[in-house]
Amino acid sequence: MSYQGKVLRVNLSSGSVTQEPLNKSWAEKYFGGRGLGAKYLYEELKKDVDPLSPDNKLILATGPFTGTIVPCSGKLAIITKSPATGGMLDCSIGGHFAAQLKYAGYDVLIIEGQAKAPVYLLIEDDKVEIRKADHLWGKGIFETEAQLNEEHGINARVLSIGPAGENLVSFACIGSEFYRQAGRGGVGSVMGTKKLKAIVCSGSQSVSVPDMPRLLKLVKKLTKEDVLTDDNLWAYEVGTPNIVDMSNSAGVLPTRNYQDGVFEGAKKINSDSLQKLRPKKKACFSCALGCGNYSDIKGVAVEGPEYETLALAGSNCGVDDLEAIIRFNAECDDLGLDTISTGNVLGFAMEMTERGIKDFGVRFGDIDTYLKIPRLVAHRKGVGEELSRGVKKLAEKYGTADFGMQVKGLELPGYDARGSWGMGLAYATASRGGCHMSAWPIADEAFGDIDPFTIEGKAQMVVEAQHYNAIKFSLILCDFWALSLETMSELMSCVLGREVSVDELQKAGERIWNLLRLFNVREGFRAADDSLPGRFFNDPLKSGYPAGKILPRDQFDTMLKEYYQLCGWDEAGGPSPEKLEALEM
Amino acid sequence: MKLALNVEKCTGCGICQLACSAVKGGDFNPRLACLQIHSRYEKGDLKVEGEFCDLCLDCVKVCPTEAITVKNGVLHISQKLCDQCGLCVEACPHGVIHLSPSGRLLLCNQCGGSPQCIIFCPHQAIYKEEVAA
Repeated sequence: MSYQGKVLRVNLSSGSVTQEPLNKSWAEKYFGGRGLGAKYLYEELKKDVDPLSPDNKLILATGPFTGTIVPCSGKLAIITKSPATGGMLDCSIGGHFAAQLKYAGYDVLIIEGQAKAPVYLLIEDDKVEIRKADHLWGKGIFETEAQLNEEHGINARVLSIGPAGENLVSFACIGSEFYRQAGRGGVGSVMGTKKLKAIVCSGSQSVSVPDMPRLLKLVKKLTKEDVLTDDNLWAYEVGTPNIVDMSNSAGVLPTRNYQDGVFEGAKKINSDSLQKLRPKKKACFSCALGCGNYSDIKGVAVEGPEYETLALAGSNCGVDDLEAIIRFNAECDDLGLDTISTGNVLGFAMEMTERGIKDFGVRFGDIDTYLKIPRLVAHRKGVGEELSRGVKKLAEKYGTADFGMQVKGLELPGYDARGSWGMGLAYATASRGGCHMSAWPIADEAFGDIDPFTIEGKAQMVVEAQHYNAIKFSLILCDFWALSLETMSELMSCVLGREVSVDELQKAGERIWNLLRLFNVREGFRAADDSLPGRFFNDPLKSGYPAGKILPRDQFDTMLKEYYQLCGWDEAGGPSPEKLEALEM
Repeated sequence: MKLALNVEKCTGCGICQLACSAVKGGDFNPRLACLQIHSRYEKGDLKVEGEFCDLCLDCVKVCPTEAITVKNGVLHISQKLCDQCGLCVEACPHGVIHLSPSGRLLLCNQCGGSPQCIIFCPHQAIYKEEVAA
C-alpha cells in the first residue's frame, strides 16, 4: 500500500514529539487529505474550542497518491478549526511539501499546543526538532523561506507564515515555495497563535505501491489520453485568468463589492493582457499540467495572479491596473494574507467609505491607498486593525450585513450568485463558508448551457459536485484535473493493491461530506447559517446578461430544502441518524 | 548520446525522477533517481537546473571491481561484481549514482535505449544529445 502507516504528533506546549501508527480503519473509510484530516480533527477536538487557543490543532494530511507518479497528486491538505468561521476548515496547498512529508515517513502530521516563544519545526525523516525562530519572527514569507532553504538544503521544502499569521489576522494564509498558499479561513493565524513560524521538511524514504508495472502503464496512458487534453490543458496554457472574460461576459464578475457583475476595465486585467508578462511555468510535484504561471512586471514577481485575485483584488476594488494587482498579489503573498479575503474586505471598506457610513480612507480605484492597506492589515496598524477582523465582524459592527459579502464568516470568492443560482446554493452550504471549492455550478450555469436563473435541478447538481470533490480532495487530486470516478477507482486499485470500486468512492465522498457537516453541527451551525448576504436576495444586478436579476429569497429557500432532502439531512441541516447509519458512521 | 534538459520547457514537476526511481529501484524516491532536476525560485527568479550522467566515466575509473563498464555507448552495471563500496557514488560529479536501500547500485543506462524520463516527461523537456569529445 502507498501509505507510510505513520502519524507524527508534535506538541509545542510540552515539546513532545511522538510517532504513532496511522489509524487504519479511518484510512480505509476516509482515505487521506481532507477526509482523513477531518476525521482526526473531529475525533480529537472538543466542542467549542477557541480556534486561536492552544487547544486547536493543525493537521497536515497527505493522501494515498502523494509521493507517487499519479498525475496532479502533489497537494497537501491542512485541516483545522477555522478562526474565520468557527467551523471546519480544510485548505490545500500546492508545491512539493506534501511529497517530502511522505518521503520523511509520515502520512499525517498533527501539531498541538502553543510554544512559549517563536519556533519552527524541522523534520528530516526520524529527526524532528522544535527550533527557535526568534530570528525569523516578523519577517515576510519570502525572506523566511529563502533563509530556511539556505540553512536546510535544496531538498527541504517550507511552509511558513508572514506577519499576518503572527498577528492573528482572521484571513491570514500559509505560504510555500513563495507563491503557493493554503489561503482561506485564517489557517495562517492558527500557526501564528501556536507561535509556529514555519515547518521545514525533507525526506529520503521511498513510497511503495503493490503493482508498479500496472500503475506505470496506467499513468502513461492517462497522461496522454486524459490529463494532457483540452479538458485540462487550459491550466497549463492560460491558467485561471482565462475566467476573467468568461465571468465578465456572463455578468458575474464581482465589481465594486458586488454592486455590479460587469467591469468596464476587464480587458485590461484579462488573460490576454497577462500572457505578455509570463516568462515561465512551474508545476507542483508530480503534476503533468503545471499551472504555475509565473509573472514578472518591473521586477515584481508572482505565480499568478489567479482569477480569484484578479476578481477580488481587481474588479471588486475597481482596479483595472494589472501592475497594481500584481504588486498587491506579491505583497499579500509575502505578508501571508489571503488575496480573496483581502480583496473582498477592501471592496467592503471602499463601499462603506463611498456611502459615508464609515471612512476607511480608501475608495474604489484608489490604487495608492489600496497598495498600502495589506501591510496595515498584516501588522494591524491604523485602519488595518479594524479590517483585519474580516467582513463579517465589520458588517455586524456597522449594521451593513446586507453588503458584507461573506457566508459563515468567510469572504466570498469571484462569482456573483445572482447570475448563477446554483452557485448561491454552493456558497450557502459549503463546509468552509463562502467558498467556491465545494462545488462550481457556475461552469454549467453562467459559462455553460444550463439556465442560471432557475432552481430546477440545482440542488442535485450541487450535492453531486460536493460528494465528488469530497473524495477527490481526500485522495488528493488537483481540482484542475477533471477526471472521472472510474479513473480514480483504477488509480486507487493500483496503489492499494485491492480493487476499489466507483461505488466505494462515491459512498466515501458522501461520508466525508457528512463528516464535515457533523463537525459544523456540533459547533452550533444550523439551517439559518446556510444563507447568503442580503445583496444577492435584494439588489438586482445592474448590467450585462443578468441585468435586473436577483436570487429570490423564496426560491433560494426552496432550493435549500430540496438540498437537505437529497442529502438526507433534517430541517435544521443536520445529518439524520438513518443517513449516518447508511454511511457507516 | 547523453541526456540533457531544455530548461525553458521544464516545469520542475519531478515526474522524470519518479519514473526513473520506479523503473530502476522499484519504488518512488526522487532522491534515488539517476537524474536530478532542481527548479526553484531564487531572488524572484525561477532557476531550473538538471543533472544527468554525461558519461564522464569517473565512476568507471574508481570502481575497484570493474563492475561498471561502457556497453553500446551507455553505462552498464554488473550487480554481481558490485560490492556496494560506494566509491562511484562519491565520485559522480552530478550526484546521479545511488545505492538503493536494498543494496542495488542505480546508475543511468538510458533504460537500454528508451529512457523512461523522456517517455514520462509531459513537456518534452528531456532530450538526447551528442557527448562532447
